[in-house]
Amino acid sequence: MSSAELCGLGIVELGRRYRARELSPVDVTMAHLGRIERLDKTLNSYLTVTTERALADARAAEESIRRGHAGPLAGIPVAYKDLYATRGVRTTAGSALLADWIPDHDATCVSRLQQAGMVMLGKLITHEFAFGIQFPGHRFPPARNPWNLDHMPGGSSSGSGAALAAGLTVGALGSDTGGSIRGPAAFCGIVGLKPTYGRVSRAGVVTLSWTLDHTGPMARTVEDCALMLQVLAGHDPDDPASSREPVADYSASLRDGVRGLRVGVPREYFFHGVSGEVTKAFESALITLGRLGAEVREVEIPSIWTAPAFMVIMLSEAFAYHARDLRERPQLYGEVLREKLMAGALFTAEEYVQAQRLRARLRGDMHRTLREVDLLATPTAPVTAPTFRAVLDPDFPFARSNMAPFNMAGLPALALPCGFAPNGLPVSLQLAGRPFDEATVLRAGHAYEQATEWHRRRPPV
Amino acid sequence: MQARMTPPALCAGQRVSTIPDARSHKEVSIMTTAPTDITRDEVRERIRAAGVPIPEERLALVHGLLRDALRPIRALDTREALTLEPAPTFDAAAERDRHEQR
Repeated sequence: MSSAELCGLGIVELGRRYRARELSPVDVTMAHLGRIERLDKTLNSYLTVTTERALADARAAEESIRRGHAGPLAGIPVAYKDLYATRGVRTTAGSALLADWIPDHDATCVSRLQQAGMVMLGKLITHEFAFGIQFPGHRFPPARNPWNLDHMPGGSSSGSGAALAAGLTVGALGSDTGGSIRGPAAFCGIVGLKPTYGRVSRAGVVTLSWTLDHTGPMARTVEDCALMLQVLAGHDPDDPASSREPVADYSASLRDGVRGLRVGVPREYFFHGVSGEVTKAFESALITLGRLGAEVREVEIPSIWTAPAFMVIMLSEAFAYHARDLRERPQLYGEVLREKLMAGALFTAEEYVQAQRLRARLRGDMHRTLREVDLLATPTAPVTAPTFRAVLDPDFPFARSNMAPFNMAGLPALALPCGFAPNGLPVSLQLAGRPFDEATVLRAGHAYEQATEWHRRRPPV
Repeated sequence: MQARMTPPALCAGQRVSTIPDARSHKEVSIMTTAPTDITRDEVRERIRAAGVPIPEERLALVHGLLRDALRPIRALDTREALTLEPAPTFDAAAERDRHEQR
């Protein structure tokens, strides 16, 4: 088996081969480390590669598999967005402010995956403080899209998306305040899940916006995301927003198909500015879901046009988090990020409260819509990945986010590949569900994935 | 009962406002709304009042952020939404739970 084939295997297949003694976690880890060494000089997806730690984790996993004590994630290579605290390993949040921070603790998510036996390959590059794109003046070179190096991989979990697409890890963690898991998943042709707000702990993850931040898994298949979520989900006393809602068995219903599921398509808002190639792939995905037995219908979310108030909440909270450093050490921020964060100081208290009121209304409307249907389906991103040259143009017109409304409402939302544009770049389908109903979202995503081949394609790296 | 937020498109008889089509730069008519967008001069005034050093060359960026973010807030007639409360902490399932308790 070639390195590319070996590093293209997912959690399920690797686990099966580990248990059958056909593959060893140490060999798989070494194959990944070698591939990172060869390819990441160009892709820039990793900020730190933890070679010794990876090999130690792999040896421990190998031993636990040998003793028959291992769970499904044992020996599986994983890498963490550099926003997650990792004990003894530099954690920068992509910022000069934290360039030398070596945490003395692991983020809860990291701790849970390590306890499950995953093998830590390293830390993945993030946009500075997980905000927007990598602007000029950024301390670290941006990760590049493995499908076309001239194009951005999306952000802010840019390294996570690029590394997964290129076969430089099997699983990854991202964070998502307005689409930072789903955007890179869409642009890199992989799968990303933003769970329900409160479902997965944020403890130990550098904050962007307290009431909008979510953490979650990224992988190359829906099933791999489900396996990671199973370990990540659950109450964490260290996260004030963590829910005590019982955790479902996400694998139990994964193969139940979509027959009888009602899939709602909100045409308002989500289709403004969507390119023809994305529309074509999305409509084709709806046909596939219908062919599989889902009932696809159009729905309305009356207050959807209030969604841009997201930015009032996000910027106000981000400014509150960064206020002291912005005033005392502004030179340590990238210049465009600095001014965007400072814009958070320009909203009035009334405007922040009104934005939270609009958010309550939007959440209510989305809940009501999700009583009529089981899922909502939209294009994840209105366009395919833009070029670096395009986004660095000050006049670049950023498309409205199709993802932020689900951060506003806190609903689970999954991004998965649903096609490719003529330029060879991936297109993505977003499926969102009721609060804490990740099981149905994953079930529908898995059914669609099994009926299509998009997730099997690999970039030409 | 909460008053329904008036979606901008449903505000009859008022001037047409637009949100730029992000892909084509064309202006598409998608909101019919009463509110006036925040102006660059208002943004300059807010920058002065807040005491944050945002240089003039970033004014267009910051103005764009504020304009788009504030548009739905300026469209909100608070008299029609007096019972709409912001949650002091965010709970994704709150509305579901409230409905189920009825």
